[in-house]
Amino acid sequence: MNTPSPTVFIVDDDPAILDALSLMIELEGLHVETFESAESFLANWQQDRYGCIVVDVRMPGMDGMQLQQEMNNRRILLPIIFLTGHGDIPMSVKAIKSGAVEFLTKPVSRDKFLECVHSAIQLGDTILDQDAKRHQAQTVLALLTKQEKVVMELAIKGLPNKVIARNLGLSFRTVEIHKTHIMKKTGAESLLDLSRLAQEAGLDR
Amino acid sequence: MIPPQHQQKFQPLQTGAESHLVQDPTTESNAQSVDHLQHELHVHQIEQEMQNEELRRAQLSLERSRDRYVDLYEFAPVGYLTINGNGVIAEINLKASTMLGFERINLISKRFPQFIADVDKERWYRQFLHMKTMAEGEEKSLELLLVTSKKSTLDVTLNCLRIVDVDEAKILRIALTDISDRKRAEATLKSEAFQRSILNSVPVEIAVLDHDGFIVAVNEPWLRFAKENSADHGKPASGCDIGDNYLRACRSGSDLPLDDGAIAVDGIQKVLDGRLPFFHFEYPCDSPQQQRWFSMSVTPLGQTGQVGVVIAHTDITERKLAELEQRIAATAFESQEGMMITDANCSILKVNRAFTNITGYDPVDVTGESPHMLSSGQHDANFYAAMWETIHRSGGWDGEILDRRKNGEIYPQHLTITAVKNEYGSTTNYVGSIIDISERRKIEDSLRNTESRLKLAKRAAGLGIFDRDLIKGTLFLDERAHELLGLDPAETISYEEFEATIHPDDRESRKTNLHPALDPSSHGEYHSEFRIIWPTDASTHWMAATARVFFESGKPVRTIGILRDISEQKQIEKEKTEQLNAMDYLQKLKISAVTVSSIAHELNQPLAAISAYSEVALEALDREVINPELLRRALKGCVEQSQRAGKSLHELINTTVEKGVFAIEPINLNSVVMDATHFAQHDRLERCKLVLDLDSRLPLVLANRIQVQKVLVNLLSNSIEALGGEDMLGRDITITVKTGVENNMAQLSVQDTGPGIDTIIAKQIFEPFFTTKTDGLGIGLPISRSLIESNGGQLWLDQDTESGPKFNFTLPFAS
Repeated sequence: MNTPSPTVFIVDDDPAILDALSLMIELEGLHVETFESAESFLANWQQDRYGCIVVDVRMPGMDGMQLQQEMNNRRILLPIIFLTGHGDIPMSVKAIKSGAVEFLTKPVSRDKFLECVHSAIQLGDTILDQDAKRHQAQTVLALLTKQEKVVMELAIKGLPNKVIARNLGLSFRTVEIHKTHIMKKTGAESLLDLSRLAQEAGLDR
Repeated sequence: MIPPQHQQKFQPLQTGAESHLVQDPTTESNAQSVDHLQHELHVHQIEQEMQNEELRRAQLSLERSRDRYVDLYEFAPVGYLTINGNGVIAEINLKASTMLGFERINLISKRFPQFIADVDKERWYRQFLHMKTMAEGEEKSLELLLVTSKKSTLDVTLNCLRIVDVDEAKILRIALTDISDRKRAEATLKSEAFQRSILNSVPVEIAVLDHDGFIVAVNEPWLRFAKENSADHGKPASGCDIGDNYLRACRSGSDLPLDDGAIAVDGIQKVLDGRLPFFHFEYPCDSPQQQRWFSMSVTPLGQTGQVGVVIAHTDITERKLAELEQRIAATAFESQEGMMITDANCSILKVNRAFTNITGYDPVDVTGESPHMLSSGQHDANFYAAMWETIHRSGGWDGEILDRRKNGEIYPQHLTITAVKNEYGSTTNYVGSIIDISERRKIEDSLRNTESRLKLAKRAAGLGIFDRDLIKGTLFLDERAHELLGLDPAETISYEEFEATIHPDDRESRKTNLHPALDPSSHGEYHSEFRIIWPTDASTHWMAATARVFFESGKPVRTIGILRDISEQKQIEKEKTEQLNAMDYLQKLKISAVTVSSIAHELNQPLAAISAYSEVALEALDREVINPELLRRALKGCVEQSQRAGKSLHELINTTVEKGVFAIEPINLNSVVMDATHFAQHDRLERCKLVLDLDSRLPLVLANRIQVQKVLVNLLSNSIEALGGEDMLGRDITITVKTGVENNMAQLSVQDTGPGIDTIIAKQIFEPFFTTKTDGLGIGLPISRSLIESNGGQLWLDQDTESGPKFNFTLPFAS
């Protein structure tokens, strides 16, 4: 099914919570899909889906924190809103650090909940956009040879060709040829352009 | 030689013949003269023949006479001999040579003295010289002992006649008479009397027994003794006189103690039977006046005892006493003390073994030496001068002195010098006794060291010592013990007074510990811990007493032990228990937190759903087009979730009740207060003053101990924590816990002097999940209230503005 709009995925072992929250989301006019366990969500995941996910921390089987871990592993880039019965500060800190958007304590007010859902969907768009750019940059950079990648890494750090040549034990001329090839392959118009591309590909990390 | 009487008879005949011979023959030459002459001659011839006959007859007579004389001379019963002036034997008759046992030829011309026994030679010479000066015909007789050829002696009497022989030589004619028999008889006579007198004069009682034991002879001392020891004075004791049977007397015990009598009889009998050659027996036999000993020697009369025995009985008391004294003296001399005896000039005469042991000098090393050789050189001349001055003045000296052993070692000794004086008061000897005190010194030193070490250890350990004399009933306490018991060091207390200082609650347990140790069959050791109340300030101190009971002849006589203040240890123990309790409490708190958390989750889930459904419903109502389906769904969800919540709550309560946590029993509310204050005390309470005002006569209440305790801890914690929220510095906060009886119920109140509770908050504090605390669970008061109510009581707050807020709860009594 091709879904043009973002989807709010809700994972909670309590059917009443699933039902009440999905009603709330539906009433807001958003697309919602509910799952009674983390495992069932992962099983039905499709890579082209986007939006955000609301997860109950305390669940039998895989719990909320473990699901977050697994989503990171599978590069499921949905922003996560955690729901918990009681505010556990250390747990929420950990969850936020791992990429969670929000940590909400049940019972949650409608306003707070929907605000969080909307900002999560927005964040989801940004993440996807960045991911697409990275994917594109990585595809471009994949065209480079090993030697060219090394030269590029040094070049985007702002080192002059002479220094690069000395560092790599190459002739000045060879470095110049490598740089020309790099520019041509990536389609970068300047060193700044190349640097942005590398950043998008995540090479500067 | 012609004897004189013969000379006279032949004298006329001889004279006529001689005269004829001297007449002149010329005158006779005439005719007639021839006839006449012839006739004359004839007549003369006849006369001559007659004369011849006469002479022959005379000769015969003479010969007979001579033979008679020879017989008389040679065979007389008396020996004759003649000695010339030089003492040489000139003539000797046969009898004399027989007496001497030599041939006559061997005696003639021999000097007479060579036949005299040596003992008499001297006397003979003297007599002989005297006899030479005697007048002719003078006689002298003497007795001499001669030696015969067989070297035997012969007693003789010499009758000596001084004469001048025909040759004008002065000779000594001697008649020898053998007087051996007479001498022997004399000797026999003499020795019997002599012996008798000797026997009577020896201080030995002698009796002779015949073979049957009858006394046949006694000497005078025996008789005297028998009379002295007789019951009937003047008469010899029975069995002791001649004619008595001595053996029978001995057997009957009249003379000797029975046991000794039996030994004596046995010994005498053995000698009588020839089974013993000799029997000697010494035995004590005391008279009423003095201690006495006697000896009895039994010897056979003759070769064996067949004839009889001689009993010699002697009083040996003096010897025995002397021996005893000597033994005592010898033993005393060989005492543990070194002894040294010197003469008046300080020359060592004798030393004993102990002296050798102490000084290292053997008796040979020092005998004849001066005691000065032992001097160590550590004392100056003045010291010795003073010592001798004392000896001369008072007869002795006594003191400690350093001397030197043979190996050169200088050692301390105790020396006693005593001057021994004779009956005239002059010193004859000095006796020195020495005691080596180097060991004692060492022991003293080491004792002093040990003692000081002990003292140090005792002080370091803070140990007090007590010593109780169970016989005298006295109690000794050292300085530290006084200190521990809070007593003045100068104060002495009796054991009963000591017992009175023991905390009344601990007296029984102390006695229980002590009692088995007083049993003589036990090892006598005991350990006991008890509280002492100082008489000075009534403060309480925990003591540990470790002691040992000493026994004498199966009775406890003494108890010695140490006291140690263990208050600090007890405090630590108490704190440890409190900490454990606190940990236990925290653990319980954690469990209950988990429980509460799960309760919260169970309630929170439906609440969260209800909340969401409700908002959905509210939102749906706000829409222009109301979607009834959606509304129904939301409201249905609300109903379902509300019911779910209620159901969960009931299940929870039922489960908890089923676990049996709420057992209700009679409990002491005051002890619950003590336990709860321990829990609550561990952290914050120290900043407040906790006052317990407990009614000690409060009857038992019927409640669940844990629940009541929890409620009280909650109330206390609330007070403490509420106070903790404020700025507590400089504020004197008192929390008072009070128990008592109100309206037939036990009532407990917790009141603090803290800031008080806001009136608005006061209305809410019993509502569930209400809290003013940032970290609290907010269930304390509502749960506390429901817990108290479930125990049949009530919990409420008195807002007393004057003395601070007061939480109260009541509980029913058990009876």
